[in-house]
Amino acid sequence: MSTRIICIANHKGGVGKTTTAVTLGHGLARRGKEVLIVDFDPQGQSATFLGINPSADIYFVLASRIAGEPRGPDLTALKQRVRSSGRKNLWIIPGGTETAIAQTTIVALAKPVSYIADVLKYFTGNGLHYIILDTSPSLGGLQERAVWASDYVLAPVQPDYAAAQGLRQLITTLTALRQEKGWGGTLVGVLPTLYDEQTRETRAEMKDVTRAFGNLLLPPIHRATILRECAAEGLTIYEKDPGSRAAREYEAVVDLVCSLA
Amino acid sequence: MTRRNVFEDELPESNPLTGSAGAVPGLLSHLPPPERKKKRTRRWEGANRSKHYRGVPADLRTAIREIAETLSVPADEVARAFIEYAINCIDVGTLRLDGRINPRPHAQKMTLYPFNGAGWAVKGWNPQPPPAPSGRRKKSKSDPKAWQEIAHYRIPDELHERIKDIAYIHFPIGEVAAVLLKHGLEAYRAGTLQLTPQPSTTANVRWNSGR
Repeated sequence: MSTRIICIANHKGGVGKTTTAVTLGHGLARRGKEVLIVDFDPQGQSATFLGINPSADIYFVLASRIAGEPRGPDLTALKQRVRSSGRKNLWIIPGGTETAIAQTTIVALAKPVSYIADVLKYFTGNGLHYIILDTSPSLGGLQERAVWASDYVLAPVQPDYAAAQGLRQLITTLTALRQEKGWGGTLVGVLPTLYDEQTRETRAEMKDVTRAFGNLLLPPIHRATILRECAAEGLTIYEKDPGSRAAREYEAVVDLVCSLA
Repeated sequence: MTRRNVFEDELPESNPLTGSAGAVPGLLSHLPPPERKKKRTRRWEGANRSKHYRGVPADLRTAIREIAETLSVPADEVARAFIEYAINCIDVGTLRLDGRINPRPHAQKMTLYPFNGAGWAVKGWNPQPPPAPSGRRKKSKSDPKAWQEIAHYRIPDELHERIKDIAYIHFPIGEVAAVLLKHGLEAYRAGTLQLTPQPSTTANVRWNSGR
């Protein structure tokens, strides 16, 4: 099986992108898949959610191609940027505030949309089944390139107007990348997160999302305090309470990803 | 004020990548649906079922599996090679299968007390048989019966039919298969039979004839 790249994206922040990236990554790893999480968010929270320190590793990975050395980057140095998450089969290239510098440089040098895809080629293969890209909540240069590098995009959305607007902008970006830049991937689903069916606004928003996305709408992840506790303790939901509702709901997402070609 | 639907309304601002900002259902039509893995039909496995041979000893099966692992080929193919070799030996006359009546006495066990009466008599005196011992004798689990040892090999139907032909009605098919496999194994160990693994061609390779 070739390495599948899955991008977790939404132009709105705080919708559960990092939680989804980390939980999906660990869920796949628990099923024996080799998974690499790449954190393109300058907040660097994928690492902290896994209980490890954020670092400038993704900055160095991105910067390795900026210089444009004729012989290419030092592969050994590049692969040393892959850190163990402390979990079996789960690896991470952490990000940090330095990621924003790399983003600015890439945009200033007008690097092509395939820039991240070219960087990730150094990591694909080697028995790696999935690369999960956690992206920043804005179009600043990195997110479009991360989407372009991916085979599948998973869009978490909190059922409120602002998050829906971010999702709408993401769909516009995906369509544009497909039509204008020849992106070969697709949207795998819209994942409602922080779901709370008790409010009328949530129900109304879900109705709109359902009407717009139909089969692409995935079963929701309910708002759960345990997920916030996981972030605070540096554990995934599978470590904290694998029998919880949140863990079961994320298992459905893992099932979906495993069923993809 | 009426509720806005962000997915169906036209966006006031345009996207920097395209300049378009249409409704979401229209935009989604440009994205292909995600491809799912095709479920395996197992049609090939259904058409090529494995054959079961009762009475093939465990050490013989283990030896076949170990040779297969050494050669990086399936155990079925090693078994097939051994059987084909042994059948060839039968055809050319270097291997003969001689059936013998089982010499073990309990195989032809008789009884002098077929019913309630005794099986012997002395001048009209017919004593009652001694009472049968109560309780069944516990069977030892240390030595499994040969018929309990089953080997499963996916070999061609024609080869299986040859084994059945050799067994005919006199021998159990499993025993014949065990003898053939053992003969092949001994020949392999002696160096008479050599197995040469070749790289297999994958089903993905396609070419056009140019017509």
